[in-house]
Amino acid sequence: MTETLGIWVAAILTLAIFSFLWKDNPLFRLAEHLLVGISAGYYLVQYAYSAIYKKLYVPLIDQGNLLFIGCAILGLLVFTRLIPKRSWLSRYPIAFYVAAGAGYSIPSGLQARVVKQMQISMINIFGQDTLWANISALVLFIGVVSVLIYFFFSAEHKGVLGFFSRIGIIFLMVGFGASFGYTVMSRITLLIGRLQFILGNWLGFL
Amino acid sequence: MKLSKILLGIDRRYIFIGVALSIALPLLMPIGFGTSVTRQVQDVYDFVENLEDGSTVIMSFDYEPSTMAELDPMARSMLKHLFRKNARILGMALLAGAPGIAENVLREETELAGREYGEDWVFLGYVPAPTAAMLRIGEDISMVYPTDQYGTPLTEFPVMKGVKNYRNIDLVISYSSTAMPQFWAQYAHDRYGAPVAVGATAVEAIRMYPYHDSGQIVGFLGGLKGAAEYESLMGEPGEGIKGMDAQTIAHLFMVLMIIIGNIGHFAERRGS
Repeated sequence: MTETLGIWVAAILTLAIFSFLWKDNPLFRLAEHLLVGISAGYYLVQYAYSAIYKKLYVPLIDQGNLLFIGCAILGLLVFTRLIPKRSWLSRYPIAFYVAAGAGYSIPSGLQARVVKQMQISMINIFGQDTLWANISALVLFIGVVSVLIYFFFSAEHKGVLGFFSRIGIIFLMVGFGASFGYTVMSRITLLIGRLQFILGNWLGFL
Repeated sequence: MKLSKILLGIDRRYIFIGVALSIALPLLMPIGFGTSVTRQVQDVYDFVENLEDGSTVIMSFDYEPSTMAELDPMARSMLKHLFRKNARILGMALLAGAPGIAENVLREETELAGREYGEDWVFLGYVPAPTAAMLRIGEDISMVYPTDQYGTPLTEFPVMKGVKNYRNIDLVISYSSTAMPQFWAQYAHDRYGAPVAVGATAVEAIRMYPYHDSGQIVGFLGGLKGAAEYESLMGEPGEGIKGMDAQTIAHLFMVLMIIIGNIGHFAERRGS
Protein backbone atom coordinates (compact mmCIF):
# COMPACT_ATOMS: atom_id res chain seq x y z
CA MET A 1 0.00 0.00 0.00
CA THR A 2 2.76 2.44 1.03
CA GLU A 3 4.77 1.54 -2.07
CA THR A 4 1.75 2.05 -4.36
CA LEU A 5 1.04 5.41 -2.77
CA GLY A 6 4.69 6.39 -3.23
CA ILE A 7 4.60 5.42 -6.90
CA TRP A 8 1.42 7.47 -7.48
CA VAL A 9 2.84 10.53 -5.75
CA ALA A 10 6.12 10.25 -7.69
CA ALA A 11 4.30 9.78 -11.01
CA ILE A 12 1.97 12.74 -10.47
CA LEU A 13 4.86 14.98 -9.42
CA THR A 14 6.87 13.86 -12.46
CA LEU A 15 3.99 14.80 -14.75
CA ALA A 16 3.59 18.09 -12.88
CA ILE A 17 7.24 18.95 -13.59
CA PHE A 18 6.92 17.89 -17.25
CA SER A 19 3.84 20.12 -17.62
CA PHE A 20 6.24 23.09 -17.68
CA LEU A 21 7.24 22.00 -21.20
CA TRP A 22 3.77 23.07 -22.32
CA LYS A 23 3.71 26.24 -20.27
CA ASP A 24 4.20 27.51 -16.73
CA ASN A 25 1.32 26.47 -14.44
CA PRO A 26 0.40 26.18 -10.73
CA LEU A 27 0.88 22.40 -10.67
CA PHE A 28 4.49 22.80 -11.85
CA ARG A 29 5.11 25.46 -9.21
CA LEU A 30 3.67 23.27 -6.49
CA ALA A 31 6.00 20.43 -7.48
CA GLU A 32 8.94 22.83 -7.70
CA HIS A 33 8.28 24.26 -4.24
CA LEU A 34 7.86 20.80 -2.79
CA LEU A 35 11.24 19.80 -4.23
CA VAL A 36 12.99 22.86 -2.81
CA GLY A 37 11.35 22.54 0.62
CA ILE A 38 11.85 18.80 1.02
CA SER A 39 15.45 19.02 -0.23
CA ALA A 40 16.26 21.80 2.24
CA GLY A 41 14.77 19.81 5.13
CA TYR A 42 16.47 16.59 4.09
CA TYR A 43 19.93 18.14 3.71
CA LEU A 44 19.63 20.05 6.99
CA VAL A 45 18.84 16.88 8.92
CA GLN A 46 21.42 14.82 7.05
CA TYR A 47 24.24 17.32 7.67
CA ALA A 48 23.22 17.88 11.29
CA TYR A 49 23.15 14.14 11.99
CA SER A 50 26.26 13.18 9.99
CA ALA A 51 28.47 16.12 10.92
CA ILE A 52 27.31 17.60 14.22
CA TYR A 53 25.98 14.48 15.92
CA LYS A 54 28.23 11.73 14.55
CA LYS A 55 31.45 13.69 14.13
CA LEU A 56 31.22 16.07 17.10
CA TYR A 57 28.64 15.07 19.71
CA VAL A 58 29.53 11.37 19.80
CA PRO A 59 33.32 11.76 20.14
CA LEU A 60 33.10 14.75 22.48
CA ILE A 61 30.18 13.91 24.76
CA ASP A 62 29.78 10.12 24.47
CA GLN A 63 33.47 9.23 24.23
CA GLY A 64 34.88 12.19 26.18
CA ASN A 65 37.54 13.07 23.58
CA LEU A 66 38.42 16.61 24.68
CA LEU A 67 40.36 17.35 21.49
CA PHE A 68 37.01 17.95 19.87
CA ILE A 69 36.41 21.04 22.04
CA GLY A 70 38.86 22.86 19.77
CA CYS A 71 36.92 21.68 16.70
CA ALA A 72 33.65 22.81 18.27
CA ILE A 73 35.05 26.25 19.06
CA LEU A 74 36.39 26.64 15.52
CA GLY A 75 33.02 25.58 14.13
CA LEU A 76 31.12 27.97 16.36
CA LEU A 77 33.40 30.84 15.36
CA VAL A 78 31.99 30.60 11.81
CA PHE A 79 28.69 31.88 13.21
CA THR A 80 30.31 35.12 14.34
CA ARG A 81 29.73 36.27 10.76
CA LEU A 82 26.19 36.94 11.96
CA ILE A 83 27.53 39.56 14.43
CA PRO A 84 29.09 42.37 12.36
CA LYS A 85 31.35 43.63 15.19
CA ARG A 86 32.79 40.17 15.84
CA SER A 87 32.72 38.83 12.28
CA TRP A 88 36.53 39.01 12.01
CA LEU A 89 36.68 35.98 14.31
CA SER A 90 35.18 33.83 11.55
CA ARG A 91 38.41 34.26 9.60
CA TYR A 92 40.21 31.86 11.94
CA PRO A 93 38.21 28.72 11.10
CA ILE A 94 38.19 29.75 7.44
CA ALA A 95 41.97 30.21 7.49
CA PHE A 96 42.36 26.84 9.18
CA TYR A 97 40.09 25.19 6.60
CA VAL A 98 41.83 26.82 3.63
CA ALA A 99 45.30 26.02 4.96
CA ALA A 100 44.48 22.38 5.67
CA GLY A 101 42.69 22.01 2.33
CA ALA A 102 45.54 23.58 0.40
CA GLY A 103 48.09 21.49 2.26
CA TYR A 104 46.59 18.16 1.36
CA SER A 105 45.20 18.98 -2.04
CA ILE A 106 47.86 21.07 -3.83
CA PRO A 107 50.77 18.58 -3.89
CA SER A 108 48.61 15.57 -4.68
CA GLY A 109 46.47 17.61 -7.10
CA LEU A 110 49.56 18.69 -9.03
CA GLN A 111 50.80 15.12 -9.15
CA ALA A 112 47.44 13.60 -10.18
CA ARG A 113 46.11 16.26 -12.52
CA VAL A 114 49.23 17.82 -14.03
CA VAL A 115 52.35 15.66 -13.74
CA LYS A 116 50.63 12.34 -14.56
CA GLN A 117 48.74 13.89 -17.47
CA MET A 118 51.97 15.43 -18.79
CA GLN A 119 53.66 12.05 -18.58
CA ILE A 120 51.05 10.34 -20.76
CA SER A 121 51.33 13.19 -23.27
CA MET A 122 55.09 12.62 -23.59
CA ILE A 123 55.06 9.54 -25.77
CA ASN A 124 57.23 8.34 -28.61
CA ILE A 125 55.21 9.42 -31.64
CA PHE A 126 56.77 6.93 -34.05
CA GLY A 127 57.71 4.14 -31.67
CA GLN A 128 54.27 2.61 -31.09
CA ASP A 129 53.40 -1.02 -31.85
CA THR A 130 50.90 -0.46 -34.65
CA LEU A 131 50.34 2.11 -37.38
CA TRP A 132 47.05 3.14 -35.78
CA ALA A 133 48.77 3.68 -32.42
CA ASN A 134 51.40 5.82 -34.15
CA ILE A 135 48.68 7.94 -35.79
CA SER A 136 46.88 8.30 -32.44
CA ALA A 137 50.11 9.38 -30.77
CA LEU A 138 50.76 11.94 -33.52
CA VAL A 139 47.21 13.34 -33.20
CA LEU A 140 47.66 13.53 -29.42
CA PHE A 141 50.96 15.37 -29.84
CA ILE A 142 49.58 17.89 -32.34
CA GLY A 143 46.45 18.36 -30.22
CA VAL A 144 48.31 19.03 -26.99
CA VAL A 145 50.84 21.40 -28.57
CA SER A 146 48.33 23.34 -30.69
CA VAL A 147 45.85 23.79 -27.82
CA LEU A 148 48.67 24.97 -25.54
CA ILE A 149 49.70 27.44 -28.27
CA TYR A 150 46.08 28.65 -28.50
CA PHE A 151 46.24 29.54 -24.79
CA PHE A 152 49.63 31.28 -25.18
CA PHE A 153 48.73 34.95 -25.01
CA SER A 154 52.16 36.57 -24.69
CA ALA A 155 52.53 36.98 -28.46
CA GLU A 156 50.06 37.86 -31.21
CA HIS A 157 48.61 34.82 -32.96
CA LYS A 158 50.13 35.46 -36.39
CA GLY A 159 52.29 33.41 -38.75
CA VAL A 160 53.33 29.99 -37.40
CA LEU A 161 51.78 30.76 -34.02
CA GLY A 162 48.50 31.75 -35.71
CA PHE A 163 48.51 28.57 -37.81
CA PHE A 164 48.94 26.26 -34.83
CA SER A 165 46.51 28.36 -32.81
CA ARG A 166 43.83 27.74 -35.47
CA ILE A 167 44.56 24.00 -35.36
CA GLY A 168 44.19 24.27 -31.59
CA ILE A 169 40.73 25.77 -32.08
CA ILE A 170 39.73 22.76 -34.21
CA PHE A 171 40.84 20.38 -31.44
CA LEU A 172 38.97 22.43 -28.86
CA MET A 173 35.81 22.39 -31.01
CA VAL A 174 36.04 18.61 -31.40
CA GLY A 175 36.42 18.37 -27.62
CA PHE A 176 33.40 20.61 -27.01
CA GLY A 177 31.39 18.62 -29.56
CA ALA A 178 32.21 15.33 -27.83
CA SER A 179 31.35 16.90 -24.49
CA PHE A 180 28.03 18.17 -25.86
CA GLY A 181 27.26 14.73 -27.31
CA TYR A 182 27.87 13.13 -23.93
CA THR A 183 25.69 15.77 -22.26
CA VAL A 184 22.82 15.02 -24.67
CA MET A 185 23.24 11.31 -23.92
CA SER A 186 23.13 12.05 -20.22
CA ARG A 187 19.98 14.16 -20.39
CA ILE A 188 18.21 11.67 -22.65
CA THR A 189 19.02 8.95 -20.13
CA LEU A 190 17.33 10.94 -17.38
CA LEU A 191 14.20 11.14 -19.52
CA ILE A 192 14.44 7.41 -20.25
CA GLY A 193 14.58 6.78 -16.51
CA ARG A 194 11.46 8.84 -15.89
CA LEU A 195 9.54 7.28 -18.77
CA GLN A 196 10.57 3.79 -17.63
CA PHE A 197 9.14 4.70 -14.24
CA ILE A 198 5.88 6.10 -15.65
CA LEU A 199 5.33 3.37 -18.25
CA GLY A 200 6.63 0.54 -16.07
CA ASN A 201 6.28 1.12 -12.33
CA TRP A 202 3.17 3.32 -12.58
CA LEU A 203 1.20 2.14 -15.62
CA GLY A 204 2.61 -1.40 -15.75
CA PHE A 205 3.17 -1.42 -19.52
CA LEU A 206 6.81 -2.56 -19.37
CA MET B 1 5.62 30.25 -47.34
CA LYS B 2 9.39 30.05 -47.43
CA LEU B 3 11.04 26.71 -46.59
CA SER B 4 13.32 28.40 -44.07
CA LYS B 5 10.35 29.91 -42.21
CA ILE B 6 8.60 26.56 -42.02
CA LEU B 7 11.71 24.75 -40.78
CA LEU B 8 12.79 27.38 -38.29
CA GLY B 9 9.23 28.02 -37.12
CA ILE B 10 8.53 24.51 -35.82
CA ASP B 11 6.89 24.91 -32.40
CA ARG B 12 9.32 23.56 -29.76
CA ARG B 13 6.46 21.64 -28.17
CA TYR B 14 6.30 19.39 -31.26
CA ILE B 15 9.98 18.68 -30.71
CA PHE B 16 9.30 17.76 -27.06
CA ILE B 17 6.54 15.39 -28.19
CA GLY B 18 8.92 13.93 -30.79
CA VAL B 19 11.60 13.29 -28.15
CA ALA B 20 9.05 11.72 -25.78
CA LEU B 21 7.73 9.42 -28.53
CA SER B 22 11.23 8.49 -29.70
CA ILE B 23 11.88 7.24 -26.16
CA ALA B 24 8.48 5.80 -25.23
CA LEU B 25 7.94 3.75 -28.39
CA PRO B 26 11.24 1.81 -28.24
CA LEU B 27 10.60 1.16 -24.54
CA LEU B 28 7.18 -0.30 -25.36
CA MET B 29 8.37 -2.11 -28.51
CA PRO B 30 12.07 -3.01 -28.05
CA ILE B 31 14.12 -3.20 -31.23
CA GLY B 32 17.24 -4.87 -29.87
CA PHE B 33 20.09 -2.68 -31.11
CA GLY B 34 23.37 -4.23 -30.11
CA THR B 35 26.08 -2.35 -28.31
CA SER B 36 29.82 -2.65 -28.90
CA VAL B 37 32.10 -2.91 -25.87
CA THR B 38 34.69 -0.17 -25.40
CA ARG B 39 38.19 -0.71 -23.99
CA GLN B 40 37.35 1.32 -20.88
CA VAL B 41 34.46 -0.96 -19.89
CA GLN B 42 36.29 -4.13 -20.91
CA ASP B 43 39.17 -3.16 -18.61
CA VAL B 44 36.83 -2.78 -15.64
CA TYR B 45 35.16 -6.09 -16.43
CA ASP B 46 38.50 -7.88 -16.80
CA PHE B 47 39.76 -6.42 -13.54
CA VAL B 48 36.70 -7.65 -11.64
CA GLU B 49 36.87 -10.99 -13.42
CA ASN B 50 40.48 -11.42 -12.30
CA LEU B 51 39.77 -10.57 -8.66
CA GLU B 52 40.43 -13.43 -6.28
CA ASP B 53 37.49 -15.11 -4.59
CA GLY B 54 36.50 -13.22 -1.45
CA SER B 55 38.20 -9.96 -2.43
CA THR B 56 37.20 -6.81 -0.57
CA VAL B 57 35.66 -4.00 -2.60
CA ILE B 58 34.63 -0.48 -1.58
CA MET B 59 31.57 0.70 -3.47
CA SER B 60 31.16 4.41 -3.07
CA PHE B 61 27.78 5.74 -4.13
CA ASP B 62 28.65 9.33 -4.94
CA TYR B 63 25.44 10.33 -6.69
CA GLU B 64 22.03 11.72 -5.86
CA PRO B 65 18.51 10.96 -7.19
CA SER B 66 18.85 13.20 -10.26
CA THR B 67 21.32 10.79 -11.88
CA MET B 68 19.91 7.47 -10.67
CA ALA B 69 18.76 6.56 -14.18
CA GLU B 70 22.35 6.51 -15.39
CA LEU B 71 24.22 5.13 -12.42
CA ASP B 72 21.84 2.64 -10.78
CA PRO B 73 22.06 0.15 -13.69
CA MET B 74 25.85 0.05 -13.61
CA ALA B 75 25.96 -0.32 -9.82
CA ARG B 76 23.49 -3.21 -9.99
CA SER B 77 25.29 -4.93 -12.83
CA MET B 78 28.68 -4.66 -11.15
CA LEU B 79 27.27 -5.88 -7.84
CA LYS B 80 26.00 -9.01 -9.62
CA HIS B 81 29.44 -9.54 -11.09
CA LEU B 82 31.18 -8.99 -7.75
CA PHE B 83 28.88 -11.47 -6.03
CA ARG B 84 29.78 -14.05 -8.67
CA LYS B 85 33.34 -13.55 -7.45
CA ASN B 86 32.15 -13.82 -3.81
CA ALA B 87 33.49 -10.34 -3.14
CA ARG B 88 32.96 -8.66 0.23
CA ILE B 89 31.27 -5.31 -0.31
CA LEU B 90 31.76 -2.21 1.80
CA GLY B 91 29.11 0.28 0.67
CA MET B 92 29.51 3.95 1.44
CA ALA B 93 28.26 7.34 0.29
CA LEU B 94 30.09 10.64 0.01
CA LEU B 95 27.16 12.84 -1.00
CA ALA B 96 24.40 13.73 1.43
CA GLY B 97 21.66 12.67 -0.99
CA ALA B 98 23.22 9.27 -1.68
CA PRO B 99 22.63 7.03 1.38
CA GLY B 100 19.02 6.18 0.50
CA ILE B 101 19.97 5.24 -3.05
CA ALA B 102 22.95 3.18 -1.91
CA GLU B 103 20.85 1.36 0.65
CA ASN B 104 18.15 0.53 -1.92
CA VAL B 105 20.58 -0.82 -4.50
CA LEU B 106 22.61 -2.78 -1.96
CA ARG B 107 19.58 -4.27 -0.18
CA GLU B 108 17.80 -5.33 -3.38
CA GLU B 109 20.87 -6.83 -5.03
CA THR B 110 22.14 -8.58 -1.91
CA GLU B 111 18.69 -10.08 -1.33
CA LEU B 112 18.62 -11.35 -4.91
CA ALA B 113 22.10 -12.83 -4.49
CA GLY B 114 21.24 -14.26 -1.06
CA ARG B 115 24.01 -12.39 0.76
CA GLU B 116 24.02 -11.77 4.49
CA TYR B 117 24.43 -8.33 6.04
CA GLY B 118 27.58 -8.18 8.10
CA GLU B 119 28.88 -11.46 6.63
CA ASP B 120 29.16 -10.52 2.97
CA TRP B 121 28.44 -6.82 2.90
CA VAL B 122 28.06 -3.81 5.11
CA PHE B 123 26.71 -0.32 4.58
CA LEU B 124 28.88 2.32 6.19
CA GLY B 125 26.61 5.24 5.35
CA TYR B 126 27.31 8.85 4.54
CA VAL B 127 30.25 10.84 5.81
CA PRO B 128 30.81 14.56 5.18
CA ALA B 129 34.11 16.03 3.88
CA PRO B 130 34.73 13.46 1.13
CA THR B 131 38.40 14.11 0.39
CA ALA B 132 39.31 13.97 4.08
CA ALA B 133 37.42 10.67 4.30
CA MET B 134 39.31 9.25 1.30
CA LEU B 135 42.62 10.19 2.92
CA ARG B 136 41.79 8.81 6.35
CA ILE B 137 40.64 5.48 4.93
CA GLY B 138 44.28 5.19 3.87
CA GLU B 139 45.23 5.19 7.56
CA ASP B 140 42.34 3.41 9.19
CA ILE B 141 38.80 2.99 7.92
CA SER B 142 37.45 2.91 11.48
CA MET B 143 38.64 6.51 11.96
CA VAL B 144 36.13 7.54 9.30
CA TYR B 145 33.48 4.97 10.07
CA PRO B 146 33.59 3.80 13.69
CA THR B 147 30.15 2.27 13.13
CA ASP B 148 28.01 1.25 10.18
CA GLN B 149 25.01 3.31 9.04
CA TYR B 150 22.87 1.84 11.82
CA GLY B 151 25.27 2.44 14.69
CA THR B 152 26.82 -1.02 15.08
CA PRO B 153 30.60 -0.93 15.65
CA LEU B 154 32.50 -2.21 12.60
CA THR B 155 34.49 -4.63 14.76
CA GLU B 156 31.31 -6.67 15.23
CA PHE B 157 31.03 -7.52 11.52
CA PRO B 158 32.84 -10.60 10.14
CA VAL B 159 32.99 -8.84 6.74
CA MET B 160 35.34 -6.24 8.27
CA LYS B 161 37.78 -8.83 9.61
CA GLY B 162 41.30 -7.94 8.43
CA VAL B 163 40.14 -4.75 6.75
CA LYS B 164 42.02 -1.72 8.08
CA ASN B 165 42.92 0.50 5.15
CA TYR B 166 43.52 0.54 1.38
CA ARG B 167 46.14 -2.20 1.71
CA ASN B 168 43.30 -4.58 2.47
CA ILE B 169 41.05 -3.26 -0.31
CA ASP B 170 41.27 -4.93 -3.72
CA LEU B 171 39.18 -2.41 -5.61
CA VAL B 172 37.49 0.93 -5.02
CA ILE B 173 34.52 1.72 -7.27
CA SER B 174 33.06 5.20 -7.36
CA TYR B 175 29.70 5.77 -9.04
CA SER B 176 29.48 9.46 -9.50
CA SER B 177 27.84 12.39 -11.19
CA THR B 178 30.50 14.75 -9.83
CA ALA B 179 34.29 15.12 -9.85
CA MET B 180 34.53 12.58 -7.00
CA PRO B 181 36.23 9.84 -9.10
CA GLN B 182 39.07 12.26 -9.83
CA PHE B 183 39.60 12.62 -6.08
CA TRP B 184 39.46 8.86 -5.61
CA ALA B 185 42.17 8.55 -8.27
CA GLN B 186 44.15 11.35 -6.65
CA TYR B 187 44.05 10.02 -3.10
CA ALA B 188 43.14 6.33 -3.07
CA HIS B 189 45.20 5.40 -6.12
CA ASP B 190 48.01 7.92 -6.42
CA ARG B 191 48.73 8.20 -2.72
CA TYR B 192 47.84 4.74 -1.43
CA GLY B 193 48.00 2.59 -4.55
CA ALA B 194 44.44 1.26 -4.40
CA PRO B 195 42.98 0.28 -7.79
CA VAL B 196 40.05 2.56 -8.66
CA ALA B 197 37.25 1.86 -11.14
CA VAL B 198 34.64 4.44 -12.06
CA GLY B 199 31.00 4.50 -13.04
CA ALA B 200 30.40 8.00 -14.35
CA THR B 201 27.46 9.84 -15.83
CA ALA B 202 27.92 10.56 -19.53
CA VAL B 203 28.57 14.22 -18.73
CA GLU B 204 31.46 13.26 -16.46
CA ALA B 205 32.72 10.36 -18.57
CA ILE B 206 34.67 12.60 -20.92
CA ARG B 207 36.91 13.67 -18.02
CA MET B 208 37.79 10.05 -17.27
CA TYR B 209 39.72 9.27 -20.47
CA PRO B 210 43.01 10.90 -19.38
CA TYR B 211 42.82 9.15 -16.00
CA HIS B 212 42.34 5.81 -17.73
CA ASP B 213 45.16 6.43 -20.19
CA SER B 214 47.50 7.37 -17.35
CA GLY B 215 46.59 4.21 -15.42
CA GLN B 216 45.17 6.16 -12.48
CA ILE B 217 41.89 4.28 -12.89
CA VAL B 218 41.52 0.72 -14.16
CA GLY B 219 38.65 1.75 -16.43
CA PHE B 220 35.25 3.38 -16.42
CA LEU B 221 31.64 2.93 -17.41
CA GLY B 222 30.27 6.05 -19.08
CA GLY B 223 26.56 6.75 -18.84
CA LEU B 224 23.77 4.33 -19.74
CA LYS B 225 25.85 2.95 -22.60
CA GLY B 226 28.57 1.96 -20.16
CA ALA B 227 25.98 0.10 -18.11
CA ALA B 228 24.62 -1.60 -21.24
CA GLU B 229 28.15 -2.66 -22.23
CA TYR B 230 28.78 -4.15 -18.81
CA GLU B 231 25.45 -5.98 -18.89
CA SER B 232 26.28 -7.43 -22.30
CA LEU B 233 29.67 -8.62 -21.01
CA MET B 234 27.89 -10.19 -18.05
CA GLY B 235 25.31 -11.80 -20.32
CA GLU B 236 22.56 -10.45 -18.06
CA PRO B 237 20.44 -7.75 -19.74
CA GLY B 238 19.19 -5.11 -17.33
CA GLU B 239 18.02 -1.51 -17.34
CA GLY B 240 21.07 -0.44 -19.36
CA ILE B 241 20.40 -2.64 -22.39
CA LYS B 242 16.64 -1.98 -22.15
CA GLY B 243 17.27 1.76 -22.35
CA MET B 244 19.71 1.67 -25.27
CA ASP B 245 17.02 1.30 -27.98
CA ALA B 246 15.33 4.45 -26.69
CA GLN B 247 18.69 6.18 -26.44
CA THR B 248 19.57 5.33 -30.05
CA ILE B 249 16.22 6.45 -31.48
CA ALA B 250 16.26 9.65 -29.41
CA HIS B 251 19.76 10.43 -30.69
CA LEU B 252 18.66 9.84 -34.28
CA PHE B 253 15.74 12.20 -33.68
CA MET B 254 18.13 14.82 -32.27
CA VAL B 255 20.43 14.46 -35.29
CA LEU B 256 17.41 14.85 -37.58
CA MET B 257 16.39 18.02 -35.75
CA ILE B 258 19.94 19.41 -36.00
CA ILE B 259 19.95 18.70 -39.77
CA ILE B 260 16.52 20.36 -40.19
CA GLY B 261 17.68 23.35 -38.16
CA ASN B 262 20.81 23.70 -40.32
CA ILE B 263 18.86 23.40 -43.58
CA GLY B 264 16.51 26.12 -42.32
CA HIS B 265 19.44 28.29 -41.24
CA PHE B 266 21.25 28.04 -44.59
CA ALA B 267 18.00 28.47 -46.57
CA GLU B 268 17.33 31.67 -44.61
CA ARG B 269 20.87 32.97 -45.26
CA ARG B 270 20.54 32.26 -48.97
CA GLY B 271 17.14 34.01 -49.06
CA SER B 272 18.30 37.15 -47.23
